[in-house]
Amino acid sequence: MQSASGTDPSLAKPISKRLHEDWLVVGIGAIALLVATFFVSAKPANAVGGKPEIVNTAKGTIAKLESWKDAPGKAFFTKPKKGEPQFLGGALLITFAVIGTLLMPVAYARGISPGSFMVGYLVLFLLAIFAFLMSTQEVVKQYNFEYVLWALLLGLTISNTIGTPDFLKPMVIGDTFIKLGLVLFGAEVLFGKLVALGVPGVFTSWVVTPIVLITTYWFGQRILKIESPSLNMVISADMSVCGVSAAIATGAACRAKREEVSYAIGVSLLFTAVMMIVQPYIVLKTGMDPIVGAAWIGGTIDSTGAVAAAGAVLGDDAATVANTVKMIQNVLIGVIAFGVATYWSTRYRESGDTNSVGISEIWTRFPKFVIGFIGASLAFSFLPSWIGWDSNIAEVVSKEITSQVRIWLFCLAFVAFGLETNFRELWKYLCVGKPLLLYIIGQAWSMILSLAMATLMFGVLYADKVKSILAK
Amino acid sequence: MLGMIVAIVTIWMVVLPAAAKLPTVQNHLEFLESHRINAAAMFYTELEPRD
Repeated sequence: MQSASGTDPSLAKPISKRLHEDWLVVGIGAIALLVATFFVSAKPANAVGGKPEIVNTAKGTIAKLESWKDAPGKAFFTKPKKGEPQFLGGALLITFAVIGTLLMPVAYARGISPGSFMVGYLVLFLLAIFAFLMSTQEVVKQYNFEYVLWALLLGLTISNTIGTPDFLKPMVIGDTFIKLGLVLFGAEVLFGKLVALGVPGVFTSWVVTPIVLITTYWFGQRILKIESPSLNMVISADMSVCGVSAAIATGAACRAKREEVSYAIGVSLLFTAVMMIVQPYIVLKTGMDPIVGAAWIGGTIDSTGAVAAAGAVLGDDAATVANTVKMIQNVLIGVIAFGVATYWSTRYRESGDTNSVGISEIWTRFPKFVIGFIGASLAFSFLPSWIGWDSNIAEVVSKEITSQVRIWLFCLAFVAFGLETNFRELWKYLCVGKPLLLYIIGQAWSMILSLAMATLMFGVLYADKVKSILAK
Repeated sequence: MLGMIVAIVTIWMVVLPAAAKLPTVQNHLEFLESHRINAAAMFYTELEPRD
């Protein structure tokens, strides 16, 4: 992602240098994923026919702040089901060391001195802790106002009041944090999840979503004539796929400006907070079949956590359907990011012209970290079964280890974006009505199509099959 | 900067804790906790496994 003013240090370098960093990030991510697998193993089942137990020796190693109501200090203590709460200080130190180790080669390649790296990284890490602290307050959390919003707000506050201090500037490399986070994120995009609900799940998530994405993008370009194609794409993907994570992945794939990604995320979180209350209310008030309503919620509400909260209001089975439809839609993010990166490489130069280009030029322009993202997704989806591992090992590695590192990297990235962003640049987007109109029209279109498909698949064609899956 | 710090401290230390004590908010928070729902999850891997 680049700044509106074009001052992103990574873009100031020749393109060959940037590609070099993309490959470096892919390499670091691949090593991190490989190392993470060493901590997880399958213990043979005790009884014949029993399931093997998956053992994760690194569980809880990466710090995750807990939720709190009135005393922020409680965020720094675990909430175990049994036993005494444990202080997260050790986990925070380990997290600091692990992420610092991952970032060192990038800092070295960028020519950042060890002193600048340590000081800059420490301050960013402390700001990330503060952003997590703000996001884990229970009232904030229940409305799905995710940590990226608070990370951005903290960065913006500093850069637009006292200014980003010079000692911090070398480590304000949000793009790099995002790229590395996305390579790790790839391991969470498991294609095996696609079949969780059979045909109805695939149709609701994988047929409606691309149609909404493409038609919304087309509408933004041709009808609304939105000036920035990348802003149009980020809003379309954010609204149709899965909110913040889709905005981050597609924003990086089409090299959107960081203000554009920030804007799309802000709008998405605002609407999600409203929709997670309104949509279940509509389902209940209209007497809609809760399973159809849940599939509708899963297909339309942007954020995964908001879908879980809204789906649960409709009952246990409905919650399962809503979460599963959303999970299948989550997996689409890999294909979308790859498609957007390819489309952008064939159509848009950094100068903005859209002349057609040859294969070698497309390859040169293609953001290589997307290959790392897709590669991690394919490897974690298919390699375990090919080499005879228990398929749950990949899931535990990505869910319990690498996703925690990815969350920290995304948080650091948005602190950095805030530190790089001039509020006036962001304000320009807030003052223009077209992007907001695009989001509203796209979301309305998504709600209509999703409702039609959910009714057809979950209410008519596969109603009995879905019930039998849920009964199991 | 000072204004922002005061605003953040006031909202997170006074307003939000007070809001958390409102009966409707409290009921919703208890509902989420009893169902082990992380309403702020960005991706499905951030959700608690359902029983």
